[in-house]
Amino acid sequence: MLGNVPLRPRGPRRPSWPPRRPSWPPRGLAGPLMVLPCVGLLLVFAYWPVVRSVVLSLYGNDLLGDPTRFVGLAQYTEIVTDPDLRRALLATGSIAVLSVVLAVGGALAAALPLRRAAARPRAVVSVLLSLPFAYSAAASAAVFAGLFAPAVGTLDALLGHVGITGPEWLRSPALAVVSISIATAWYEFGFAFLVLLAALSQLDQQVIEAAALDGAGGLRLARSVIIPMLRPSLVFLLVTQTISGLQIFTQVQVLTRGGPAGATSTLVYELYQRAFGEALPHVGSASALAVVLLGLVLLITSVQFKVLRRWA
Amino acid sequence: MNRVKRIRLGSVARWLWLGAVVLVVVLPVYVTVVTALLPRSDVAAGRLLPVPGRLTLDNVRFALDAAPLARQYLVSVAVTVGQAGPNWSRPRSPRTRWSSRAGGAGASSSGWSWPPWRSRGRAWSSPTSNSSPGSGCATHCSAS
Repeated sequence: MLGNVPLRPRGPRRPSWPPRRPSWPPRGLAGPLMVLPCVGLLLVFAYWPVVRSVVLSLYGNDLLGDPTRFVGLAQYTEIVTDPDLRRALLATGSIAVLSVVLAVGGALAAALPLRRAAARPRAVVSVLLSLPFAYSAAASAAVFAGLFAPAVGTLDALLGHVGITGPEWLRSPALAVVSISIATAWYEFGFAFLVLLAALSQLDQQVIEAAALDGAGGLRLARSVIIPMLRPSLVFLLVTQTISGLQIFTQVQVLTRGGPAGATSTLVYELYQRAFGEALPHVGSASALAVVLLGLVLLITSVQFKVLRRWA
Repeated sequence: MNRVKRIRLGSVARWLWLGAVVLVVVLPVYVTVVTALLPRSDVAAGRLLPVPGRLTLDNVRFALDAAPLARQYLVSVAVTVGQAGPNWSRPRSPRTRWSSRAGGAGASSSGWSWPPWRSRGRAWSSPTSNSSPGSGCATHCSAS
């Protein structure tokens, strides 16, 4: 009986406004569909080259560099036993460590005193110190080639004015590594400085003022309060700068081309030489080297993250 | 008095240190600019100080003649646009449009809002934070 009685009087249906849209894409699929183009690009341009490198590293190649026969891990064994590559590994590690220490340490040493400077001079100095960020790696390396050039180099000329004979910046094996590290550190300095400057401007001023009221000042304030508060930015800089230090190529190519006597030949430079620098391309060997470098970067980065996460 | 003296000394030391850092960092930039404006003979002789009468734009002219700078510049612009483009062309989501029209800046900044036809008779409040500024808290709070 009750079932036949309408609960509400039936009238003309109210039009909904705005009109309902057709439900496509379906609710559950909208997100994945939107992400799909990005994932596609990543697969094609980021992950496929890695897979291709791994495949190529397991094959020998012909005169044109095309893969020929399966050789398994032979090229990896060659990498491990090759003394040139051990030297390249040492040079890469030395340059990466030196350049990271110089760039991040220098940026920190420049950014900390700026915190207390007046606004206008701080702006001027900030612009001047961020200038290296405007350079490309090749341009900065070319400038340093002029600075370090033997006999006519600017640094030697400057030292000559004060009666000092400049050292052979790019001809001595040890000094060449230091010179490339300096050039790399200068190039990376601008970025590190900007990151630290931004991090400093975001610090909680109340904490700093409280520490200052407690009597902390100058170096003590920086060491015990400000630097610990900057840890997340410092961790970010250490990780990113180490990765770019391990991948250094441009400075080596422009300044020394791996010399003197292979002292500055880094892993990426060696990889480039094997793939493109010799008359016959050794694509398989270069790919194996690329895979080893990738593994090395992953290993060092994960260790850094593990160690630095505790610190941060 | 001693404290004032210490602060002044600290300030002087700070600016001396910053001056030294600026000198080291700017030297390569200075060398770039001076090398670009000096004649080749002066550059080869390792002269660092630009003499006003000897400054020249020959190097710039040579670079413009030698390299297809216009094409290189276009390539750089294309690469930059390619890198940054997807962010610029990202369409605003309907939710953002609703927020900007009905919810106000606070609602959109809290990342959540009702479409306007569902908000009639409803106090503007975010389910996550009722007290977020600008998210209709005034209405909601005064009603309660």
